[in-house]
Amino acid sequence: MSSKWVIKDAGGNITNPCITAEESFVAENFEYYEAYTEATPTVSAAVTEKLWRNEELIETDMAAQTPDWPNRDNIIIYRAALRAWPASSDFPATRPVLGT
Amino acid sequence: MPYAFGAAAGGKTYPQYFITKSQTWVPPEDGNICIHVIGGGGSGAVGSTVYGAGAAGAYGKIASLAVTTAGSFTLVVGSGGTKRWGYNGVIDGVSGGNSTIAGTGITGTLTCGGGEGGIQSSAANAGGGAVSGSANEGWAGFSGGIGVVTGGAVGVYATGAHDTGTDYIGARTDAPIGGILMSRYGTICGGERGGNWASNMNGSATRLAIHGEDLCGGGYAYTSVGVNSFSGNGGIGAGAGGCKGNNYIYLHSGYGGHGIILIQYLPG
Repeated sequence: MSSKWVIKDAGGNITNPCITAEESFVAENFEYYEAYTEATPTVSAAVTEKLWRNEELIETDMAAQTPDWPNRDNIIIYRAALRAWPASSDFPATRPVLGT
Repeated sequence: MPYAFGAAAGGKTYPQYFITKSQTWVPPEDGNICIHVIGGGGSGAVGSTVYGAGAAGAYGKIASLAVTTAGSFTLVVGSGGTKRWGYNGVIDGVSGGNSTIAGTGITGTLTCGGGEGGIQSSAANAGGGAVSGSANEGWAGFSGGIGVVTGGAVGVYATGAHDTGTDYIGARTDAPIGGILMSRYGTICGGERGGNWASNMNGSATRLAIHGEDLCGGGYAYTSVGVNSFSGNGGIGAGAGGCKGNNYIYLHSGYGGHGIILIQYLPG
């Protein structure tokens, strides 16, 4: 059950964009109202994968700059693959994998 | 049930009620009350153009009103504007809701408008909520602070403050400090600090700006290299900070602070 409501007039114009109330209160005091819904953007796979790619680059940045970091050679190869990934035919279906 | 906290004076307790959800309120005892009303704050905008902070809701007050247990009041509490998020493009913030009071001994409906949502434009700032309604019962108040980079604040003694481009910290309310739970005997209190900002220099993949304290604006967030960036929520009734960043970074603006109605029984 919604706890937020949009109040309207008879013409459908919004008179109060969002109030907090039980539905019983809204029904008793307002003739025209509807449950408030929060707009959410649609995110494509390409966007979510590019965001994942960015996060991986940030998380491996310290390793790339530290000469004795464990598995550093593979991390450097992995980072190069991450950078090239968005322009490749594997994007966005197949993520690069860090070697061991 | 509204939150009720008693304030003692001269051996008698004078309750006060923090109304956070719309309701019909019947005075539990005869006496004189002070009513404080605050509209909801606007949420921040997201995008790569400017910051676009939310504005604060208006503040209004009836300093003293005689009530009896036979009276009744319709109290409507405006919500804060909900946050916006996205990963590219420009999305303006959402306006806060209006808080209103009406009932026995009050002429018409008295309104404290919600603050506007943040605007992703260098040509305009979000406007603070306005006070409206008959002044017959001594109803008076002030518009909320506008939203610029950081969220606007609720003004109790003058129009609400906004950031002036000097420190970019969320605007502070002019209400006495200590937090709203320190309110007593016709005075409403607020927080001491607006929200601090977050930017690239904070390091890590996620930028988290700080929320505003009660009645104070939220901080802004900016990043060009992170993954997530969150601006700060507004405190009660206050505007949220704007969120700016490059494409392919999740940008989240803050929520506007919810409105509130505070009813205080008065000594004497």
